[in-house]
Amino acid sequence: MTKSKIIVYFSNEDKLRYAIDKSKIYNIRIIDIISPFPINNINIESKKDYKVGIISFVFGVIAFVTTLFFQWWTSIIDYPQNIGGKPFFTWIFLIPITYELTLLSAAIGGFIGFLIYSRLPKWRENNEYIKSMRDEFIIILNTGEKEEIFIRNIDNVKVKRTF
Amino acid sequence: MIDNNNISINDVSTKFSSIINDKPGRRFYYVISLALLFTLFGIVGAYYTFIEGVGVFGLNTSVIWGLSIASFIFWIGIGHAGTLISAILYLFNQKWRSPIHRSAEAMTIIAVIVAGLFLLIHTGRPWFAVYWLFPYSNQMGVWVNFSSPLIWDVFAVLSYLCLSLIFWFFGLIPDLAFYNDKVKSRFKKWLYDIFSIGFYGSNKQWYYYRKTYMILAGLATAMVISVHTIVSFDFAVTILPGWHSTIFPVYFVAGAIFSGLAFVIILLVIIRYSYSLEDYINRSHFKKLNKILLAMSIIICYSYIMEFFTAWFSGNEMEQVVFIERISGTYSLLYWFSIFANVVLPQLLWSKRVRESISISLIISIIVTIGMWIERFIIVVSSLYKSILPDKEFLYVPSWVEFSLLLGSFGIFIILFMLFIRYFPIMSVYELKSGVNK
Repeated sequence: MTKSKIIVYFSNEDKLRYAIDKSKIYNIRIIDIISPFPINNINIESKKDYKVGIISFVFGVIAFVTTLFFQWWTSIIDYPQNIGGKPFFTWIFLIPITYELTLLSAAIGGFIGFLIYSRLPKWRENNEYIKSMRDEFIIILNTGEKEEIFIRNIDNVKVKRTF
Repeated sequence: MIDNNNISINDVSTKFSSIINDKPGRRFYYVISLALLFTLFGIVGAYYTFIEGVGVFGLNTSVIWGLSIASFIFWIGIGHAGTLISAILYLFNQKWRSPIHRSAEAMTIIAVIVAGLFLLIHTGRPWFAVYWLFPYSNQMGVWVNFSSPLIWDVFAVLSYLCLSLIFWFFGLIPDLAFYNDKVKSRFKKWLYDIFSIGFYGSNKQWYYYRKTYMILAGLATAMVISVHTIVSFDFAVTILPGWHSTIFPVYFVAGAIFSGLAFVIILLVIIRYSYSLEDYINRSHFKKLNKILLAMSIIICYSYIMEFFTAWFSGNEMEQVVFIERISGTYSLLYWFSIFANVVLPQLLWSKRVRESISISLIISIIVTIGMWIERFIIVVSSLYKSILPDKEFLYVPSWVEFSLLLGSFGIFIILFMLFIRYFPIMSVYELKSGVNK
């Protein structure tokens, strides 16, 4: 069940910014903003978070531990090879591989974190609001009297209502 | 950033949707068929190598590494500038990178794939190489030797390839969503639909998108520095005069970025010309790229000097002989050419007129690319061909098989790059849009 919503279209970034500034005066809650490129300083989920970074870090740590453990296990426990009388385990020589795989896993973790928190992947067809990325700047509002007054006072291109 | 003030967001959209929907011209097929011919040479060379073994290379008992290793380092080096432009310049908040970083990233990925092919082919028996190189539990119960630089190489190159792919794909997502709307063919629409993973530019998506992009850029930067460092360890950890040197990591990373930038300039000139993108890639981009090129050339010059200094200062006779041979021995002509191409010629870029001239910077870039390939060849061969025994010289001349492999690598590179500019957004469209009107 989708709630009824008002979708307001703008032709450029400045008009969108203006409307967002105005919405604070009217005390209106904007549900979502859709734009063809990221717009600076308009995050409606006001608080900062480090969720993606944390997932990335955890992946990195896991990869660091497992890679070091695996190299230690193969060269000490499972099949110690005597290569020119060199020591079986020297941590310095195991750093390059550990380093690379840690970074790689952290990147994979970051990507997975992005997918989780922005609720992707999705089929585009199911998207009720828009055919995306059409050079239109969109804000989505709840229905209500306050919102109707607000819409009349801003310079928008068109308004669509879903029920 | 776009300098032309007359361009609006809609112009950007129109331009790039026409690029994706236009039928490729006759020139496209000419270039592809030429590249296919090159690739065919490469395939013949590779087939002959696999049938006969590496004996068909011009290698001998002393020169055990030759053209294929030099080409491997060359291609990996080419791969470095893409990440420099996309990740390092992003971290430094350089907005001018937006029209050029996408093709630089594609260049990175393709170059690393080509380099990986050299790594495989130079083993001569790639089907055995699987258990020399990858730690899987085979029937003999033997693991690979993790303290061997060859294994480091495999992990470094593969990790770099994977991370570059992730970074590149992540940058592509909003543009694929944009193309999904613009493309006419239904099959392509379906493909773009799948690969844009449902991104439509909501506030939340952009918020996490930008956060993740920053994280990936940071990780890619840390990775790119380490990859050529590890490639240089192939040389630096051996106890061979001329190679056993602590300056190698710096020297290799600087050289990689240097040659990669030169290659980026060549590709940008081609893209700019073939899609008439003069409004998007202009003189100021070439000027800035040339400035970085000049800076890298100076670092390389410093490394060359320090190599000679350490050889002299160490008082080690073996070391000194290698370097005297380098400037006056059999391969000295090649060495002096690489000095001319990598150190002397880029000094022209001090002049503002040269920096801003696209044709001159194209010529300089081509010569630098050749010079850097020769430099790698010199590094590999000059330490090997002089035997430790007195008065014994093993000359190395690459055989036709090796040259055909080199030609084939260029063929594969061109084919993959042409397919990229045909089917993918060649510029970061959303970044271009955010750059207009400001």
